[in-house]
Amino acid sequence: MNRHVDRWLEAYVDGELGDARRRQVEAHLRQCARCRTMLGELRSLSTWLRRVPAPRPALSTEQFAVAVVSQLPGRPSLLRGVVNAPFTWWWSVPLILLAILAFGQGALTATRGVLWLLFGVWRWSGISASLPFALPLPWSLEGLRELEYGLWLGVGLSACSWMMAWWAMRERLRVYALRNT
Amino acid sequence: MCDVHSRSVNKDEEEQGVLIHRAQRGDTQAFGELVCLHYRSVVQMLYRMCGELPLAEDAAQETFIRAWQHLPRYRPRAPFRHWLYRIAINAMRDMVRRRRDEVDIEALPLAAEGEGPEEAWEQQERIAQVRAAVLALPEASRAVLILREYEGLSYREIAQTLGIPVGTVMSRLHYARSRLRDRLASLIERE
Repeated sequence: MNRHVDRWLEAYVDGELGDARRRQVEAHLRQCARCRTMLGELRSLSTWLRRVPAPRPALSTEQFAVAVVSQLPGRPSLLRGVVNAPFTWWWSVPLILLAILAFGQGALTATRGVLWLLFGVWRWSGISASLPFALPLPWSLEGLRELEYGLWLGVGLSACSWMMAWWAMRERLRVYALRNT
Repeated sequence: MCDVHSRSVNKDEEEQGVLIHRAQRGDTQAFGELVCLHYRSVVQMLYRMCGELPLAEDAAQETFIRAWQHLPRYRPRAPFRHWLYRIAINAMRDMVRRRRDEVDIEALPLAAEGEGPEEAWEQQERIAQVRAAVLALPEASRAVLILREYEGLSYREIAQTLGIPVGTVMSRLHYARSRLRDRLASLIERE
């Protein structure tokens, strides 16, 4: 005779077994009186549990709904959730610091690029106004590359910092919600 | 307020989604309709948890108020009913903790309601015996058993609702059933 299937019987009764395991349990049950008895007990227990009625609530559904709606308080703000959330996720601290650093670096690089551009325009327009001949462009090819690099880096780092800060805040809100619902 | 009360929750899944969306944006009328849809099942689940109707009704009220407050953060990854059950079980736990001095869970009324012919009375006695055995279970195992046996949730859904691993669901369920089989051996054998 196959080994008994006690450990699978509850999952079998609850319909939680995969096809292969279910067939294995059913094959065993056909030849094992002991396991059939256990299965019968489990089903009998389930039947008894379902015989226990739940009473009708004292209030009608309408009365209850009106009572609940009349007592609804204001909703806590998201900011309160962020402030009150516990620092369970210790890694949110370095993440926020990293986000601040990335944002600062990005903003600085982008600002430098924009200032370089403005300064170039000012220099070019100032000199060109005082001289009778045309000057070549005041910025070099490398300068243009630096400007482009700076702008993209700035935008990229700002986006990364925003995503990291958003994620850290979301995690804190999630933990807060889990503990307070 | 309870326009959708008579329809089944599953049938009106789409309509319920609209109500949730409206309630998330602050529509109390829509939330009232959600209360109507889920009131009875929440109260009955809570009653099975604590065995006392007034306590179950108070906990249900607390459940819906908490649900209102946290509704903007609800995401429909799990059914709304399961989300409510999670809030309800936590609300019940908090209320019992607060009222521990006033309510003795072990001494809650378990006797059958009303009287009748002898056979009916005996049946009521047996049912009271089953209810007492369920209420004597540890709260964690009782919650898993109720969600499985009365609410018909799968192991995975119970795990999501209670925020525990599936393995823990299975072990708690096994523990609850073993205890019940021991305590109710005479009834189970007679069946």
